[in-house]
Amino acid sequence: MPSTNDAPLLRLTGVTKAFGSQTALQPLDLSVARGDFLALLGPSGCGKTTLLRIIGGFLSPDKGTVEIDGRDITAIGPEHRPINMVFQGYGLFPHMTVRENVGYGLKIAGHARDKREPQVNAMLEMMHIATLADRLPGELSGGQQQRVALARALVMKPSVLLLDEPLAALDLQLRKSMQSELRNLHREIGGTFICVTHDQSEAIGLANRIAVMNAGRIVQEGTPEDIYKRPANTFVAGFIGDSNILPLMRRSGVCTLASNSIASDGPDAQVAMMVRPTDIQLSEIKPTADICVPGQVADIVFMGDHVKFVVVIETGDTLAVHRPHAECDTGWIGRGVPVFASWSRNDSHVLDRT
Amino acid sequence: MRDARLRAIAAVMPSLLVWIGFFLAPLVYLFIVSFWRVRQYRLVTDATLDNYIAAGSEYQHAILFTVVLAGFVGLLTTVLAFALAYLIRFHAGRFGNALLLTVLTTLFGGYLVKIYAWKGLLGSDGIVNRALLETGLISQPITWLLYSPIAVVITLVSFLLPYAVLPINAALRGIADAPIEAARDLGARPVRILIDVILPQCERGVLTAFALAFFISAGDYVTPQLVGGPETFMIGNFIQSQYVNRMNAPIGSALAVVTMLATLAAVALVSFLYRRALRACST
Amino acid sequence: MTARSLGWSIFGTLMVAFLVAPLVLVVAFSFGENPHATLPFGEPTLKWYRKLFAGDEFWNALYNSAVITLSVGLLSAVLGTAAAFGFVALGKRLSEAGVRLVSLPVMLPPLVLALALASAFSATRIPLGFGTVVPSHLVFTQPFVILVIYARLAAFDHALFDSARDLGASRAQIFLTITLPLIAPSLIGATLLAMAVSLDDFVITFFTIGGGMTFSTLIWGMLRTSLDPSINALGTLVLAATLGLSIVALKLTNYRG
Repeated sequence: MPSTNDAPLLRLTGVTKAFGSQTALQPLDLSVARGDFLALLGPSGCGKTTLLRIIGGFLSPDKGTVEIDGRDITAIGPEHRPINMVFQGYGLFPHMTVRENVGYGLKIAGHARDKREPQVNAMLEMMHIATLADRLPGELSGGQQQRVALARALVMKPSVLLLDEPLAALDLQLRKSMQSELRNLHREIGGTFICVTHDQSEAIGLANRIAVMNAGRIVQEGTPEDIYKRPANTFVAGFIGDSNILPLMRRSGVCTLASNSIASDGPDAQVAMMVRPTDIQLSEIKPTADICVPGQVADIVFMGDHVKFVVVIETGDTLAVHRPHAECDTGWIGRGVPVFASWSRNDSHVLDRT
Repeated sequence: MRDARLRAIAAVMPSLLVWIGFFLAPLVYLFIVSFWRVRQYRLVTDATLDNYIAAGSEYQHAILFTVVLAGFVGLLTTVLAFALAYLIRFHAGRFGNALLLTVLTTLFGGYLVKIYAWKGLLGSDGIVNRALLETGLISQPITWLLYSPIAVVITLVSFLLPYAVLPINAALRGIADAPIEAARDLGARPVRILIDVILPQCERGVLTAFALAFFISAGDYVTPQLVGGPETFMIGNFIQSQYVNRMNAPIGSALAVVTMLATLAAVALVSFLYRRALRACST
Repeated sequence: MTARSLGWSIFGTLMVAFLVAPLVLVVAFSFGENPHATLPFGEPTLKWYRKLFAGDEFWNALYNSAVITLSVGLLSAVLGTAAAFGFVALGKRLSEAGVRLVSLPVMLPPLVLALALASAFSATRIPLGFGTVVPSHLVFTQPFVILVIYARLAAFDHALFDSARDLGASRAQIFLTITLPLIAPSLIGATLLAMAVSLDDFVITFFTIGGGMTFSTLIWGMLRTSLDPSINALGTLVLAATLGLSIVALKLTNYRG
């Protein structure tokens, strides 16, 4: 146990990495507290996997340090780090049974068979794969392989568990159930997990902290709610959840959208207004609202649990608006009908354009 | 469905007929001849085991010597080929492909030309001795480099090495990176990764390489004849001389059959030991 | 870490030298005045080539080698491709066993096959000549084509054929417009490989050709009878031919293992 409990478990300071002339990571700092479930979220090529591999020790940073519990582990290889990884595609040993796969790390660590067997069995039970113990990985389904890979890493009781796109290879149904299982697992064993994903719904569903990455930088870090409700810029806004992004000009602290003036602190610049499709109301007659723009319904799409309206507003921009079915049934609205789109100032954010 | 099957069989047929006519039938004939006899330069159809008795007694020593020498060549070739393929796969980086291409272009350098070249390299006036004398490592030329079993081993290994790299390289390429990284992640050092993860997965490639090198060298007679000297007789030399010089095909055939059986047994033994050794090392 | 990579570099260099040195020397000696295979090479000269080209033996061998290599190449390509198609259509289990079976001749010591063939020819009174050499070579060259084309076909996306059929192509049209262009590089590569193997062979040629001379039996004659330095020149020519064939072949098959 460390002396100060509020000190971060894992701390990266000024980490950079380039492959040849290509910069993968800009100077980057990251702290992960004990018990966190952090998701590194970003599009492919944003550097999230590079970052994960630096934490795991498979890559060494060009500059900067990696510390765990205050100990500098930058120069230490993955075989000596108290960190284990669930690989993308799982990386199971194809010629070893499930039991041998899960027991491998303990065997390497020099635990005698009779000492490691109970631990392996307990882990197989916990991951619900005890009945598969003597099968080879090639005989398992994707979801079962995933459990074996998790068991193999968790049996080592790592300080930090790394997961590289853990759910990417599973089909939608399985992904959903594995997601809640992973979250329960994290809660039960109380470990520290870091997960790489390009899927924003996965990040929101799994993690209690999200670091959104773009072009080798962490552009925003916070709780899922923070990031969803208060995106730092248009990149984050566009990446997390559905959003409408309307380009605006800010002059002397005021932005103008159609006939609305919105106060916004900051220097004169090209900015954008972000508003979620669910936060927009549509009405036949002009409502009293903070922000109101006239437009015309261009398309109506049935989406299952809601209806999506595509509205072309006066400025020429297109708004996506999600409304419950009931609003569609009132009769006045239809394709080509003029409407007023309105929303509250609290639901919209003026963001720097990226 | 039936139609497609018939068409498929018809397509395979020409190749299969060549295989039967020019591989299977001659080998069966060879096997049958091994039970015959020769009297006054004429074949006598018989059913005698005399040739095998002779093979087991007179040629026992030659067969044993051949199996040991070929086994050594096979082992050395396989180890070097594995190291080379391992270097190409894991350590050579972007030079890997260039290295592989260099190895492969020496596949067909002309079998006889290579033997001839080694004869020039290894002689007491040859380049190897010259170089060693120049550097002062030796004061007298090493005379046993040429016309000795050593020369046979060197020549055969240099000829067989590219052939042995092929299957091992294919096997190593078939191993994914993730299990290797996973083993590292779980604390395994390079040697442990080699024993626990890599070698079990390229078993077939390694054994194919060994079998190829072993079979080819066990049946070779040109190399010992040209660089082996008067002392180094391998079974191939006896087989060839029984056929060509003494016109005794039956005993030559029996020797060929025995050699094939001995080498097959040796390869089976090696594959068994390979698995046993890996299992013993892994626990 | 650096000690280890230094070790690997030294090992790699030694291995390349071990493999390449004999071939480089043969080429170097073929252009040197020194008639013995010792250093120095002597003044540069083409006299060994002139000597080689002056004799009838060389032109005879060239003719015979050309006939054998080209026939073996052509027949390997046709028979091997047909067999590969047949095997693919026969289903996984049967075809894998079949491919392994027809590949057996590659593993057999050439001497055993050569003697088996020679005694079978003599027992059946088949006269030795091109008619015996070519099929004898075919038996160990066709596996190269079969293996390469079989692997290529097995990796094919079958939607390709289905969509071609869907668009109205006949069986023959599919073969000519889809399959053949796709396998062409592999096929040419494998054929050249088969030709290189055929040209390289000595033992089987020696026992199945009867009286005629090829490059390899000519080299054998030079090796045994005299210390004729034009052997280096001939060796260089064979080397150039087989290297040329195999480099083009490897390039075309895009060899990666």
